[in-house]
Amino acid sequence: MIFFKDLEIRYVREIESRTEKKATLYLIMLVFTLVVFGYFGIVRGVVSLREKNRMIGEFDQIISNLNANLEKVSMLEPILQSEKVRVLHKSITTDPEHQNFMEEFVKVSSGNGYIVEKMDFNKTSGHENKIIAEASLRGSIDTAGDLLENFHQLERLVSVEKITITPISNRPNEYLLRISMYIYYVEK
Amino acid sequence: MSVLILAIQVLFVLVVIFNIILNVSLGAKYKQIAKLSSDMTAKSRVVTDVRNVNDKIILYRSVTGSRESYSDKLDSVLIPVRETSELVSLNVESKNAKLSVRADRPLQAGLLIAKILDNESVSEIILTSAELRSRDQAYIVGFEVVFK
Repeated sequence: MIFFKDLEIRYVREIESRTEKKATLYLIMLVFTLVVFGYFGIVRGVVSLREKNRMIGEFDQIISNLNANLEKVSMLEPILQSEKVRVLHKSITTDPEHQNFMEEFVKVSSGNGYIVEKMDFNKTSGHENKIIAEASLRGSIDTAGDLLENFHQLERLVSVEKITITPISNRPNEYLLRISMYIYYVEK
Repeated sequence: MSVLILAIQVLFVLVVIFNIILNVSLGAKYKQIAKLSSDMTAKSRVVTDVRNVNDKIILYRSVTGSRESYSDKLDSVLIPVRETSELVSLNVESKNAKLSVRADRPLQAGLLIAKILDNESVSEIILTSAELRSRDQAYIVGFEVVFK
């Protein structure tokens, strides 16, 4: 027991007498701490914190945009069922269909005293969503102005491009009207 | 020196704690975005419909804004023709009309020009052809009517 006590005292004396060894030990510990905790820990950790902070900012922006869009969609949903939109869908169809337009056109033409002899429909080339409708009608020219005015009252949006009027031989006061017009559609 | 070592280690622990807090926050926000995106996907049909309606509104405005009234143009030519001569052919486009009439006397053609020019929508008449048809001694006169 006395031997061990003596050994301890001698060990402490030995260490305390060699202060340069103690300083080197602290220096090694400091360098180790600076490299491991400082560079690999704190510096990289701070870079990561900044990056995550930036990401949180971006996420907040995305959340805010999504919330705003959802609010807009919820607001617009009832409008899609409104009468005005229903009329708009009839005015400009979603498909390039023309059956309803043809029926309506014939009805309006006969209402103005014209007989529709022929109707042709052709899709236009290019990106434009319109159909060329070419109609040949027979009747008097007295109501031609009214007929064209009534085209603007059709449910389907129509724009007249060209009209040709020629008399029909052997039929006095009867003329052939060739009307070239566009009808429109917008695909989903 | 030991205080400096200790301070660096405490700072490191703080950085780690903040990183963990931000990780949790990021995870929560990611989940929120996923939920909102899923809600938005569920409303994709509405979004498509809204886009379609929007495109239609733009097209409707564009067409109705540039659409011209052909009835006025037609009347500005046909009414004087009915009053003065006989129509041979009429071709109306947006800015002009090509007209051909049959008149028994040249004076009728002159009268027709005067009557057409009375109309405010007409800016100019160009006489393009005039022919005396020997078969029926009728004058076939061609015009180009330019609209304002």
